[in-house]
Amino acid sequence: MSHVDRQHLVPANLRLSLLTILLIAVGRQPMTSVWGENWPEWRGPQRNAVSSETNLPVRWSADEGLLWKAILPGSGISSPVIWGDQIFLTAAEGANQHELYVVCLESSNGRERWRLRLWGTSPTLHHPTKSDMATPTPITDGHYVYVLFGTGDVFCVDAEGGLVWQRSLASEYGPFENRFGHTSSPAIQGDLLYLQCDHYGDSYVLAIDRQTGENRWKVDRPGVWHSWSSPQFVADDRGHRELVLCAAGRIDALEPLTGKPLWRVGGLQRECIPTPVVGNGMLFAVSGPKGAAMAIRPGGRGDVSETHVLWRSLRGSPYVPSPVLLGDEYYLVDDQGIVTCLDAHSGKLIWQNRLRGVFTASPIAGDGKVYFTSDDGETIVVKGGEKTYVEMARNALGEPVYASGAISQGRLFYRTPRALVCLGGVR
Amino acid sequence: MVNLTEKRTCGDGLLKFTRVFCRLLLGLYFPYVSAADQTIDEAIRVIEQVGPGATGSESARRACDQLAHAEAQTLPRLLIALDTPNIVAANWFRIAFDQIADRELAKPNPQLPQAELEQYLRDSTRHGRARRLTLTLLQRVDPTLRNRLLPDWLDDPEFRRDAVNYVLSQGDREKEERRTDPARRHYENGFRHARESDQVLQAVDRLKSVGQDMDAVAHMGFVNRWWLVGPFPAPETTGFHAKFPPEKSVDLAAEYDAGDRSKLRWKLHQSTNALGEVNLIQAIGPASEAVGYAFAEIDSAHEQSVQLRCSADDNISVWLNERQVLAREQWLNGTRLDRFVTPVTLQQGLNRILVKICQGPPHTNPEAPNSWKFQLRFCDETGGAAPFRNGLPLAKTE
Repeated sequence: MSHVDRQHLVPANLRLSLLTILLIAVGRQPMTSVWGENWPEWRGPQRNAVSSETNLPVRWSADEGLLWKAILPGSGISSPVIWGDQIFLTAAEGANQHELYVVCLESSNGRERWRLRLWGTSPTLHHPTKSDMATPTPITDGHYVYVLFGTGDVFCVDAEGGLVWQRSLASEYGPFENRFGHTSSPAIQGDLLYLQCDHYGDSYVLAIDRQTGENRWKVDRPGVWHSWSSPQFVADDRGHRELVLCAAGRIDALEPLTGKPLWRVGGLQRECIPTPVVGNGMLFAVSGPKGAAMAIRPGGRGDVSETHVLWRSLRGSPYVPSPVLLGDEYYLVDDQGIVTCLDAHSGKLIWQNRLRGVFTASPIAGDGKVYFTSDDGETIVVKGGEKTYVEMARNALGEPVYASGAISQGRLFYRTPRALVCLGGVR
Repeated sequence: MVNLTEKRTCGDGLLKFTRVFCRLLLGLYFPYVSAADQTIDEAIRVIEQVGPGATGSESARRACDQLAHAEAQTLPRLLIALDTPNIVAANWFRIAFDQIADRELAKPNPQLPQAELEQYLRDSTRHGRARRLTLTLLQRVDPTLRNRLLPDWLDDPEFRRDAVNYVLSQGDREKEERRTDPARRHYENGFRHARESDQVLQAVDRLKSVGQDMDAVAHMGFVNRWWLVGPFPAPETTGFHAKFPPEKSVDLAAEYDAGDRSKLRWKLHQSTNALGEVNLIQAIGPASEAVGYAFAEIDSAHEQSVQLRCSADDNISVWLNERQVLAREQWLNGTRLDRFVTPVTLQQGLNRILVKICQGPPHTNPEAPNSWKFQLRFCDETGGAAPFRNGLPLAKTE
């Protein structure tokens, strides 16, 4: 039996609707209208880095528009996830980063509500600044938070900071072997939690029962060694959801409930970091540097490299930052700061522009704006949907930023090496 | 004569009263303690049952909640439970430990079982993470404790790194005061006990700054003198499974067909890398889709069980005295110190080591380096060099 309530395991959209009806019925405001749209996982509400909120900030600085700044324990490159008045974060510290933290802050003021201290099984090497043991972003449904660390450990924690279950994947299946740290963030569909565990050792993908922490299925991925991408879901034209995994040289789609292979596409670079995005009935996958960006029609079977790839573009593919699809425009920023805007339907170049700086964080978008944040903490706000590059503002935070930002409650949230900042800015 | 009987009779009355009173008290107390003890023991047993696949999580959560409500005097018992390789169980115990400790320290006059905690902390046979947790707690009460203990922990399995850092920083202070001899002694002490490569190299640098040269390669047990041959052509990633003549027998005088009408010959090479890395591109030339071999002889004064630690870019296979002891087919790995560790036995006298290093296809990004190199060492479990001598003559360096 269950230590995670079944009612929390219905699909997020349905759950939100039921919750809304329920709360209105008892005369209370639904959480989403009080607190704005949640940002519950890596790349936001639809896992596409786009918020549906409006009136988002345009200008800020270290002195202006900063609503609060919360000092965090340890370090971490994971993004904050936000549900109502709660922000969940992960961090790691110690000589080899085996000391792990799950932290909950209040979104209105940054005050720490609780922190859970845990040990990680098997820390790995990592990048000196762009990754560490707390790089995968947590995922939450507001009641439970699921966190994966680069040490090969996955935890389910309730919203009050109580540990519900934990798995030491490193003990069960061998340590993650990774010289840049594990970065893939978990994904949720229905009552399953998906973990893409690609590393230099024996790679695999897991579907875990969110309620009990037990495996529903595990698929080994022999020969997949160079992937730091996160799983994504795409629906085919009949509405059937597919689990998509981007990795070294290839994209695999699996049947989410069973792990059975559906289709594959070749042509990615031999190291794959960005997470694909979905929209307009297509999957947009990319890996760099100098690799191809591809739009793929889901729903195929077997090798569909020749049949389902709608277009390929060699313009501006990033090595680290994931792309953004905002409406009909597909935005890429490569690590050297070249922004490329492609027509999502044809792959044709709309515009390209060089920003200053080096880019690790993935861009986020909303309210017709795309936010590109460089390693030195400068965010360039670009107007979306334009035929040319239109820069709305350049905002310096005055601190490095490697983690991708989050949007909720009309505010932007950015993680610096030691803190989380909440920006109200100027609209 | 003193009437002891009377006295005894009088004293007995008091004694009897005291005994009865105490029994009444203890009668009330011991059943309570016993029940509490049983509850704690049972909760600990429940948590010890958690295993792979999150089994036992629900029971463990309830047990953890019970433990978390215990008094601070329970902390030593929790620490004994924390002395486990089962990290899932350890995390449940830790949650309870942290909650008890946080609650106690929030009191105006916290009562920690300090002596027992400190005894546990000093016991190097206990699990390192549990000892470190104990130190973190005791530091909150006595911030000077760590620095008082570190000088005794230079060989400690958990705190060696902290202790080495401490003595190196002591050396730095002496050096700042221009006291070179005491600084050198601290640096030597740090070097002698350092096991991790970054600390070893730090100590070497610091000793050099006070006029003393030390050899990190010997300190860590790297083999850095090799006969090398290659590249043997191996298209794509076929090299790992392809067998070239050196795998059948090592003949240092032999010539091999290079596949392009040229001949491959063994070449003696000594690495000058601070950590014994052998760069095959520099030593025998650039290659892709190829295989290289390295051969060495080392002399062991006696038979000894040691660890063989190695890594390579792209992948590595190792034979010790003609027996394969390691083979991992992974491409694009990068050389990472001690990536592969396997126990081996060095026989008394000469030991023959053959290493196969594959080189895969070049990176599609022309800017990406296409390195081809390896590292190999013999050491004890702490990473300190195993005693051996290089059996090969000195070669010209890279």
